[in-house]
Amino acid sequence: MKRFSIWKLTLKVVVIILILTLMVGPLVGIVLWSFARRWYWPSPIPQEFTLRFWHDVFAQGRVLDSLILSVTVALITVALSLALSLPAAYGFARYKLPIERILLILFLMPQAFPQLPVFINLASIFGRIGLKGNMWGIILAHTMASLVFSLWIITATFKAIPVELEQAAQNLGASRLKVFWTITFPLAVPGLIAGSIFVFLWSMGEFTAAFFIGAPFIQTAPVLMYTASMGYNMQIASVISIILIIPSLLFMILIERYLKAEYISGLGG
Amino acid sequence: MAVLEGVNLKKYYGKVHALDDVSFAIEGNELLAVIGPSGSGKTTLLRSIAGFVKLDGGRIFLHGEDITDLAPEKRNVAMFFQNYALWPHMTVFENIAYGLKLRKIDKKTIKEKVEWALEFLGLEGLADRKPSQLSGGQQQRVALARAIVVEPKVLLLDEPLSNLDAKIRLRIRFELKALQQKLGIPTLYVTHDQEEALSIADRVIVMHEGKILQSGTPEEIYRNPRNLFVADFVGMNTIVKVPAENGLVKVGNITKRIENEQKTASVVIRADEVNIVDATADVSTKEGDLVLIGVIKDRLYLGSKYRYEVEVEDINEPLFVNHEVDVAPGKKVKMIVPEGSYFIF
Repeated sequence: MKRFSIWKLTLKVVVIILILTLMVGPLVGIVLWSFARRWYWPSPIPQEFTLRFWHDVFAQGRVLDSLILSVTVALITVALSLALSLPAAYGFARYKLPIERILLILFLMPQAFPQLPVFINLASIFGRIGLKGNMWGIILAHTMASLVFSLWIITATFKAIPVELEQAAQNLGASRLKVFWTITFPLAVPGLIAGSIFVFLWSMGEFTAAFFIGAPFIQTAPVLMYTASMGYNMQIASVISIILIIPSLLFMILIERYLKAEYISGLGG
Repeated sequence: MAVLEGVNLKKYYGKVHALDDVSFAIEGNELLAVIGPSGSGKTTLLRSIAGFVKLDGGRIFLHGEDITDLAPEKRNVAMFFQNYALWPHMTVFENIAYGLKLRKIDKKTIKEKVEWALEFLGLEGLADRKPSQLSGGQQQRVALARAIVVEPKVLLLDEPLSNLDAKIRLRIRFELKALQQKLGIPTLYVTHDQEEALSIADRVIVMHEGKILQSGTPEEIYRNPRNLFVADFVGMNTIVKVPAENGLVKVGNITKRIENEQKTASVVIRADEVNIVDATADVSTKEGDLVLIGVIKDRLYLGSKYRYEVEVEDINEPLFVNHEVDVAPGKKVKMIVPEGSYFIF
């Protein structure tokens, strides 16, 4: 018995350490790298620290520009994918559509295949219609690829809202549209927010499409980071990746606050 | 003219006949209860009147106007949902005011009406609560307030008491009846609880497998059930099977002619209406009373009465009857079932 519990404890500790290493390890490494002047193996911390790279990054306008581009792309992508998946998800949740399966598979397409060929292909198509090297090209690609996430999450949200809540409103004289805006939509807001967060974060971090479609004129933050780290400038890449985390973090904190105050309390019943 | 009338309503789900040629009418301000076991079609009937079920046949008239093809939001029949269907993101006030706002009534009048409804249902002081902060009984009353505040032509109640505790349910039954009479709104009341229906309805419809088996006043349904199903469904009963021969059934001192060519007949006895006396006692009985002789096998104490298991002569099954007098097991007894308290089918 005792041996067994010691085994269990050891296993637990090992698993926790592994998870921590996997999740927090890279982040710690990045933070350390962003301040490192010299860092040679096998030292666990850099031999020499500096703020130079932080200064360099902000001195060049490039980084800030690409960050603004990334946030803009992500926000418009969220708006577009919400606008598209809202009616579709409602249809999936409330009606038995014969084409439901086909549609869902269609939306899955961009995610179902390896990203590289899909987006290289898309880039060549966009090149012909003038969407290459263009912010809207990236937005379009991101919207197409992220639809499957938002559709999934929002469909589940609508399905979780009992149809009686809508019928009760209809019964009291509300038209379909009125029912949607006064009952269904407010109740779906938490799910919509969850979907938005997911799409926002995905778009912020997406590299392949942004790289092939944005080239050669525009660079989103992940692409800039990639270029920097490929130039063996590990420090610049680290600084950018830390900056890249900030808007996502802000977005999540903001939304979590809003979620708590307005909805979670009301959804208990 | 009937307030609400359904004529030959039909609804099929594949091979299942949820509504099989159902006709009914609500007259005046009456409370009409529809009872039946689950799957009998009673909820389908209610939902088809509200417009949530598209009928395969038949017509529905509200004050003579054909509403069969009208959208649910245009019917002005207020439905009470079994699970209340209160909107969790709105306060009690907003829930009740919802239907009024849709009717383009000015704010002041809405406030007055909602306050009237809150007071009428004893919900004062709860206007700013969210539904999740209310007890089950309070939620039930908010749902009711939401339905009556719009002054509907007909009130549709779907199992309004089934989500409440048994004790509260008994009390609310009276309140609901008083409330319906005070408001004077014609009401269709769906429930699986026959006792509840008998106690509050003006008229009762018994449904089974999509068909109406019998309709009438609670007394008619209880005293003159038309068939075995109705007799068994209403009241507390004990049922025994007895052999039938050439259309004649003999049980105790009674011989009854039945129409069917069946080999066995069912005797339904209202378990609470049996008088138990000593087998040798000389008790006067009326013509038509069923007298059975048996031996008490076992008893259960129920508080106000005992429940007896009785082995009756010539009947193979035990009979379960209730009586307030304490009789020891093993004793030979005479059971007198008055006419109208037993039925042979």
